[in-house]
Amino acid sequence: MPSKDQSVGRGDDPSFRQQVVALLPKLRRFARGLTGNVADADDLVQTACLKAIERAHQWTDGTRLDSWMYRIVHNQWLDDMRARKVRAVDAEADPDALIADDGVARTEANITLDDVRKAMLSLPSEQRAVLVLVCIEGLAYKDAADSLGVPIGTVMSRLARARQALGRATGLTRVDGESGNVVKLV
Amino acid sequence: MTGARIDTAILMAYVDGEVDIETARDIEKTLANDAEARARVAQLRQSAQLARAAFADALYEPVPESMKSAITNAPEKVVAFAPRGAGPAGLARAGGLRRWALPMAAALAGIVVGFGFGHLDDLVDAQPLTAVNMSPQRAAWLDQVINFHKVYTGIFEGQERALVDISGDEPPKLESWFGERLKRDLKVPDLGALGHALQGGRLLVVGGRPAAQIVYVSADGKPLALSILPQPGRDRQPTFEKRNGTNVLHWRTADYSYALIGTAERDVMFKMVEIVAPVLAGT
Repeated sequence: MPSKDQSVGRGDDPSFRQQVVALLPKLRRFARGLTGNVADADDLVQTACLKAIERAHQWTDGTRLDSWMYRIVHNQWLDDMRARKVRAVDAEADPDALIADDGVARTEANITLDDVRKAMLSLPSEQRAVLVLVCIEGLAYKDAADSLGVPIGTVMSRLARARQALGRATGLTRVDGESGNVVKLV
Repeated sequence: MTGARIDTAILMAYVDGEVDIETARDIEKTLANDAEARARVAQLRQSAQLARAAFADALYEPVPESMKSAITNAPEKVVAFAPRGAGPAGLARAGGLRRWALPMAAALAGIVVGFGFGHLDDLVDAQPLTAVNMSPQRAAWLDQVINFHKVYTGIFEGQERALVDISGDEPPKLESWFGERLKRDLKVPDLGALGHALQGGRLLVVGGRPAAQIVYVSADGKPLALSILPQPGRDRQPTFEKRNGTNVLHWRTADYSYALIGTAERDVMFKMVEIVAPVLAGT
């Protein structure tokens, strides 16, 4: 842990802020995976970053700043959901309620990236957070566990369930056992 | 690991690079003789690839200046957390719909995804935010198609398949599919003479317009993309450059911009353009 003298004022340190700004692309993507829309994601990220600056003294030198920032974003998201009395989306929720459909007809058999996003948003929130951190942000299980404040075993079980659910929701179907290719999502 | 069904948690850890080398080798031995386990590995990989592809574009969008400024200039100890959307954080809201334009448009344009296999690790460090510095139109479109190429094939480098929407097994189908979307006659060049096999194609959205990337793979598994974008303007001679960590040969003719993107060397790319340009021009 940094000494008190070192830690006080870190939030004013331009280099610290630059490091936070450099993480914005990944934080925005993480937040987008959590919230399902750009506006809420950007609000979430900005609020979390300001909170991080205020609490910069709590970050431990030598540890991953990105994991710490993911944790702040995630906690802020949980706080927001509680404050707004937004239920965590469960598997029965209508994903279309989270990302507006503009009414353009789509071929039902097609799996588009939009479908994938909707399928992800239909996952329980705790599964979605793990899926985003590990599969999209590329965090190791340990770092994801640190970011979410849960044991690695919990990360793995949530991740496995999330992947199963995503596979079902998107209709992933293996068509060729030998080559293993699952190509046609049309 | 013979006879017993290998645990999915172990396979998932293997797919995610969480097992040590010896365990990975044991698992691969099992996979060699276990089609069912291979299928589960495939699905685990595909679920991650789907998730990553669905949010890939978020990395390449410019971060709003208002957000960067708010973070850079905020006082350390006097940070008021205004209600969502009402304070500084709400500044981002105005651009929200616009920033969804690419993924939504891409999805609604009928982008369909197909997946092969590959590890995801390389994508973690994919070039971030080149879009921030895009001001010249040419740089913008080049950087976008380069980034798309990195997202969709960089992670598969060395693999036999790249990420394509439409397989290259039937070139006429590919030509018809892209021709309809680009509203032009399109012949897919054959680069077999230069050691590159047609893999397929994928549809992109660049600057709100549909663009094509035709994907080839070299004999040693290196992907190469031929990007095609309707872009009115004066013709430009083929120009080679190393850009954004890859080799690019780009030119424009008859209101279409083209770019070859990959690891092929300069002389190879110029030989390619000698084949590609006449075919695309229909001559």
